[in-house]
Amino acid sequence: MYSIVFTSLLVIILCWKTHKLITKKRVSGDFKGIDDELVIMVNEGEAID
Amino acid sequence: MTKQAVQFSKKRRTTYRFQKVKLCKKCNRYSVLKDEYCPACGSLFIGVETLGNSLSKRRLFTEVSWIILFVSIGVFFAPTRHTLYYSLIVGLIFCLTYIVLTFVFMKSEYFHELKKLLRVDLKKIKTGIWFDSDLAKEDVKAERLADGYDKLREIGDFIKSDAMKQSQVMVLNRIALRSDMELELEGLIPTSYDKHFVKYALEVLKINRTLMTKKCIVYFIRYRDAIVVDFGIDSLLSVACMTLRMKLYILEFSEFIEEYLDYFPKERVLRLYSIIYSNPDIEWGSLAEKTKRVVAMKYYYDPDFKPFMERKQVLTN
Repeated sequence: MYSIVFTSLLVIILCWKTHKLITKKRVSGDFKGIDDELVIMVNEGEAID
Repeated sequence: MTKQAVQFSKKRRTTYRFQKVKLCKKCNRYSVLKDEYCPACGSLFIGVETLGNSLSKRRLFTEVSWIILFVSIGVFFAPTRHTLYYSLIVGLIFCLTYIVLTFVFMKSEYFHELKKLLRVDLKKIKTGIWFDSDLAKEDVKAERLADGYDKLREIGDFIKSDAMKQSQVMVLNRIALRSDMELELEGLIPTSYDKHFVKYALEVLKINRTLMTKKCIVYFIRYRDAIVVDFGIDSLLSVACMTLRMKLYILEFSEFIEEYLDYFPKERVLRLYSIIYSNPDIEWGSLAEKTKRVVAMKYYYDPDFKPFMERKQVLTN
């Protein structure tokens, strides 16, 4: 019984981690995206002269 | 005012702009300038990529530590020797799978950490750029124009405001420009009419015509009335003459060329005429007619235009 519970817990953790990593990969975008986003964010709000 | 003769250092080129962002850990201040050491405390700057990398590694390390702890607890509380061995093997397999999985997705983890870092530290990055801008202004005030422009150019990669563009243009207007300098024009085009920019653009036109791109010509055409008032008709004439550099520009700005064609120097008319003449299949519109008229009126007996005239007569006969 102990082995089953322990193994199940580990499998659940592994599944949860895989799901998290895949989701992150899907929304992570690329370097170009990060670049554009940074420039947009820096130019928002109070202007730097 | 006499212009300062300076030597610009080469612009730092990176594949992406964010690669220029770096942090001084001691001052907790970001910078986008070229300096390797912090001007305030003298410690080495750490690039944002390195920061992102170390953050994702630290995260992996923390996760693995928790997992090892969890597996150890599982093994420790195993009721029988058999379950203990079983938990140990399963725990090891789990740890290995976890590490392999994380390594497979390391790149997206890194992306995620980098994005998070830039978002969280945005305010600090802005403050850092503000500080960089102040350093540039101090340089300009102290007449260290090359250093000042260098800094403004780096900041200009991030800040796209008219004020930033104008600061750069104002410095450039105080420098004696040379063709060997790494100059920029298109990136400095403001959103509204700016006398200083036009002055700079006209100066650039004299030393490097290739920098005068389509966007610059459009800017000159849009604000032609104000430009004529401030810089005279000659300024627009030189831009119109420059548009003959490429066939594409001639077609795109044919109306603008037509407007100033009567004032073109002979050499420019000759160029336009030869381009039109050697490309009869292109639809030049009224520009071709006007050019022919100007040539017939002004250069009919000119020996430079004779080859075209003779060929034309042969064709008509």
